[in-house]
Amino acid sequence: MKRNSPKDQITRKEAIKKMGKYAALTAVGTFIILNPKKAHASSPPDPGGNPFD
Amino acid sequence: MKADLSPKYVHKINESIVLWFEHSNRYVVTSKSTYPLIKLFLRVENQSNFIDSLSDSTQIEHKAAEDLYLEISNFLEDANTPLEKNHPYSPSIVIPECHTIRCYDFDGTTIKVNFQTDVIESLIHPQIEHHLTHLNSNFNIEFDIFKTGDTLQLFKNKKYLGSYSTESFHFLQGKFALELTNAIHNTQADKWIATFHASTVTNNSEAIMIVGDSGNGKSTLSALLMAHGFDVLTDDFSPLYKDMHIYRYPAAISIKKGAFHILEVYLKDFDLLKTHTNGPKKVNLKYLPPSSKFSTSKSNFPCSTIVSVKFDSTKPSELTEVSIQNILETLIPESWISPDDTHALQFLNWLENVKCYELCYRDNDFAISKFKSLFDI
Repeated sequence: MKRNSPKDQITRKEAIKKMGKYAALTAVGTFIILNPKKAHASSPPDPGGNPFD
Repeated sequence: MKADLSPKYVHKINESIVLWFEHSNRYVVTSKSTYPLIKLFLRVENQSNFIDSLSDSTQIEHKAAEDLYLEISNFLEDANTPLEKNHPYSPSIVIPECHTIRCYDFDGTTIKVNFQTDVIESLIHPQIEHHLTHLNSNFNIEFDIFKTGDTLQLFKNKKYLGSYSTESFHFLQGKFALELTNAIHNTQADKWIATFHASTVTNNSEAIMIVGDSGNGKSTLSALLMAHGFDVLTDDFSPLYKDMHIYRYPAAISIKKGAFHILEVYLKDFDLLKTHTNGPKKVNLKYLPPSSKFSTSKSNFPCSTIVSVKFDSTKPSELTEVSIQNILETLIPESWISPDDTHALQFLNWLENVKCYELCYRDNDFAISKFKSLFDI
């Protein structure tokens, strides 16, 4: 680990900014995981419901 | 370095950072200010290194840094976890006799479809009925669609293509749409970057993609734009090819009853279209064929504009430029995007040059004039 390399340092200003972001982070506000569908699909089942019911 | 958890691609798109994870084919959208924390997590060897590094460079408290490490760890584990696969293939399936046989013509390509029942036919036929032709034995491709128990089966040229539970019939429709697209454009399934749950309109030079949650008026707006001289390239299913063009999918636009009165004003003979009653809820729909003739229309267009639409009668009409995150939150979960790493990279590169807008409207004329102006940009 190169924890002290200057490149790894963040400025105080950035740190304050990140502290603000962290609050949002704990609420999973700043990471959004998006899953594409595993298969091709048309619209989700239409408002008529499942025709096989 | 936690290489196993690292995203394969990291793209800066305006103010957002989009990550792609190869193991799961998942996308993550985060901000420029949060991403360094993920980078730090991936770079350090363990939690204590992470905490030390953060406390050296920020005034974050030990406990908060500890929580942050765990949170990023859980998040990255999630982002890397593949979703479950679909139905396995059972080789014992025998194609039954199908009662409804149809042939469709797409500029000389004849598609024969054998539907086992009328209900199964209702999943596919109304959208492509305007391509119906006489039954003949000189077809290019044959599909069989039938049901075994609670599972829908799709075969192409008597070979298995896929199985879908009856409640997931929209996946069968999607697979059929892709196969039909392949047939009419003479290409193969592995050449597509994505099939978006979106409609696409064109001015015969470029395309604009329309996204939005179901019920937000994508199809109605497409039909309105068609009535005002635009060409509807696709409705509901927009395939993006490896040349990064959207290709024509000439299905009819499905219009729900609530929009009938709007379109009757603009489209001659709209009221003469057959009204279909769908599903146990007996919802009325009309299928509006595209105005452009498939055989003489250009088959594909570049697309560098996406508009998220929302019909809302309670708010003033407004078109605003929005972030890629705003669009991706709607687009990705509703679309298939190729898990191939080259395709994922092409998709991300394409996104970098896409302009994103949100159109909230209650006034149809406003929406149409804004689309006209977007094509002029």
